[in-house]
Amino acid sequence: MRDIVKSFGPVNVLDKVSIRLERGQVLGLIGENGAGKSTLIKILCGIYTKDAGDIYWDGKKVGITDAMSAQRLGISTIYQELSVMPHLSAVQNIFINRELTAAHTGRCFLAPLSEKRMQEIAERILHKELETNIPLDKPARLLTLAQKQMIEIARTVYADTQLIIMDEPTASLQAKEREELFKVIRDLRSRGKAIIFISHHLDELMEICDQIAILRDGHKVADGSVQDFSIEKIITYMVGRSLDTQFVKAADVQIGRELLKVEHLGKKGAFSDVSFTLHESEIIGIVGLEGCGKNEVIRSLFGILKPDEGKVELRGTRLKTRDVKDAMNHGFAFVPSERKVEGLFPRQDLAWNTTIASLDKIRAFGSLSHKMEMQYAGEYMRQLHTKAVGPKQNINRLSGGNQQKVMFARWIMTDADVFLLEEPTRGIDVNAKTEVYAAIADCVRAGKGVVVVSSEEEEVLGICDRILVMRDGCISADLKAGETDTAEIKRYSVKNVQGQGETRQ
Amino acid sequence: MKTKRSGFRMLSVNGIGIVIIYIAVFLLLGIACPNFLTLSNIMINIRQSVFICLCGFAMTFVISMGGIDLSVGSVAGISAMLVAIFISGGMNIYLAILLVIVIGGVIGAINGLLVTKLHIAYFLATLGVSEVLRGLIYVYTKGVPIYGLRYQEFTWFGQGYMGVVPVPIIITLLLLGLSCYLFYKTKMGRYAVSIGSNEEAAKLVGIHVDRVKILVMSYAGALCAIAGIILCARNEAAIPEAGSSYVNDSIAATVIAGTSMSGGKGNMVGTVFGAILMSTISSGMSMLNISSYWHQVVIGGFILFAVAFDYFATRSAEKN
Repeated sequence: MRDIVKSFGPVNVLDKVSIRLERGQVLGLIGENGAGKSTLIKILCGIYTKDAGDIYWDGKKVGITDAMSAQRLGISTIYQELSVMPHLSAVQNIFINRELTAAHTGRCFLAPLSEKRMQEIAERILHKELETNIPLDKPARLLTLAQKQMIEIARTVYADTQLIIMDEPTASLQAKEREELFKVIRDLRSRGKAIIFISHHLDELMEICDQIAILRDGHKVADGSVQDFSIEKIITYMVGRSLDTQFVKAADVQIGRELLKVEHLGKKGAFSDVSFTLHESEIIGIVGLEGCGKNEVIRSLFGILKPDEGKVELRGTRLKTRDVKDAMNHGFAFVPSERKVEGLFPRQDLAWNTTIASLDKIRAFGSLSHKMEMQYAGEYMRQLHTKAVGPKQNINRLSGGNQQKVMFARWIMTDADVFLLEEPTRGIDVNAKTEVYAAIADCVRAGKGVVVVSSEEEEVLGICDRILVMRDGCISADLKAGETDTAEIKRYSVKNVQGQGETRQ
Repeated sequence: MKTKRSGFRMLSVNGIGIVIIYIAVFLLLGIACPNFLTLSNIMINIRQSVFICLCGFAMTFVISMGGIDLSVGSVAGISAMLVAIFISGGMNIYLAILLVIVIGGVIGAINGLLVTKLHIAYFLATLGVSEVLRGLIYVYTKGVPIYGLRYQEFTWFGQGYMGVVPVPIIITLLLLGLSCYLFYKTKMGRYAVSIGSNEEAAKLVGIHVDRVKILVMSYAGALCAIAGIILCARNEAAIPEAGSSYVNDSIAATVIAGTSMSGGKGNMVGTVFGAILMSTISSGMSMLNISSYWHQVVIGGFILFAVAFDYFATRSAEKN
């Protein structure tokens, strides 16, 4: 791929990125969230179309216009969310949309399927070539994640795919399963296939890749043979030197009294022995790789998940949180990362979305008052500088940043004391980010405590007072924001991949 | 193009479309058939629509919540039967009515429990309950109507007048008021629509989703029970197949009024017009000597038209 440019609106997601990959090679694609990795592979497999640049395949210039044309070239992608049909068997899944029909009937849609031949081929690929012991007839939903992944790989083997893209294939595998996957990858490599491997686990990349390419903010900042890089060097490239000045911090505020005390909180299969103390006007950031348990921690505090052990105290009183409503009554607020999925009411207007968590405040004489609803919504619009036509505008027509402000307004209105924020700036543009940080700073000025879960180290460095790094469900470091840097955070979050014992989704 | 789009947008304002359609149909029938515009005929149309209105209020509530209630007709049917049994058994009329309304609410709550605790889809849970109830009616009555309910206090609910206004219409208006209050002005309605809009988000703002669902289903059951009682009072009898057409008709009335089948958007007042529109079309066609077999065809066409209209109206509204 040469000089690929892709922009969404005014934002250049990819800016003249070139990568090169030869047969029999594994290329590690590295970059932070938002660096442009996914966009690049989506262009390669035809989901997005490029704005400029060329793609060469076997030395010839090719046009990849849609998913079919990528498939015809021999490019397949195995996504994090596997596309195995849960009710179909391994055989049916391998041959999905490529079913074999009895020889003489051709490719007619209504032709009888040749079950026996498919069975034989599936057995050859799964059991002989990939050396797995996946049962052929079991519905895929009864298989483990790793087995489903193998089925997808078998699919690409059958289709004689030349380039396989694997997007974080190890994210939820156990150590042993990962070894098996690596064995298969090496085997495919020796048969001349090319593989693009995406992972956040740098030592895995060091282990399996021949080449790496590092992206940052839509630019390729480094590439070359893996031997020329060390983990430290990769981290330096990933993070870059230019720490943005977009962060807003309430510098004039003193950290106040103890607010929330979490002791030895644990949940089986998600996290264990998590302890920290949050003070008034303090911002704590929790960072870590995908699946390290950071989201589960704050979701437990908000009553969405039930922790198995440990205790939580708010202002010295021990809390029993049975559900979300309880947590809200205790003064917790929660802004989820997937705004559209878990946060917004898409058919409703801005005012509805603002007031839904505190309807008691807009009640007059036993019924909801439209007037008070509009007053509150309007007031928060002004306070947070939300750009909208008015409180009656449909929430879907607001930009991501303004939607996020409505989410903040919703919880400010509940008079919450502890704000639990999940990826508060995901999917919003740079200027809006600054405004969201300003909103967080306002909360801090009002004496609230804030816990931010984020996958962007720079963000937590920029806005937090303290940073907890999590790895494998445990806190691996408790750092003061002023005394650390992204490299140190990364080290604490990636080190010792061998220790990953459990399967996490 | 521009004017067309903004025209659509105006029509997408909740409820305006249905009123325009109603007036158009009304005028057309009025021109085609001179007797149509007489006060007594209009009154008859409105009177016939009360059952669909009541089931329609229930349906609007449930559909806005992202569900559907296929048991409205059977609940009305079994309520008609129960009130007939109780009254002919000598129970105090008002006590019998109250008891049947409560039973309707309980049946609704069972629907709600099936949906929330056993995680059965609305469609299947309410279909199953509906079949069971209808079956029970036939088991008890052996298919023979229960006659002989000539108690004036009772038939008054179906046939009486307060001044010049028929009692069923007054009851329907009162229940329209109650439904609107619950739907637009209370947490119950706000929460129900929020669940229809985004159930995950509803959970994360502390809404006890299960409780709201059970409560709404139970209110829906009570409304249908009232429809059944009025029907029984008007007929002076409980007919086994009573109410079997209510499901389709009330869904049609709800959808024509602009309530979205995917939840999150409902129009309570519009449902009244939807219900009246359907009885108006039926009676208008009868007066034009069109075979009653054609009524279904026309009403089906209206449903398709309304849904397509809703789709285009929302889409053009979202574009702007």
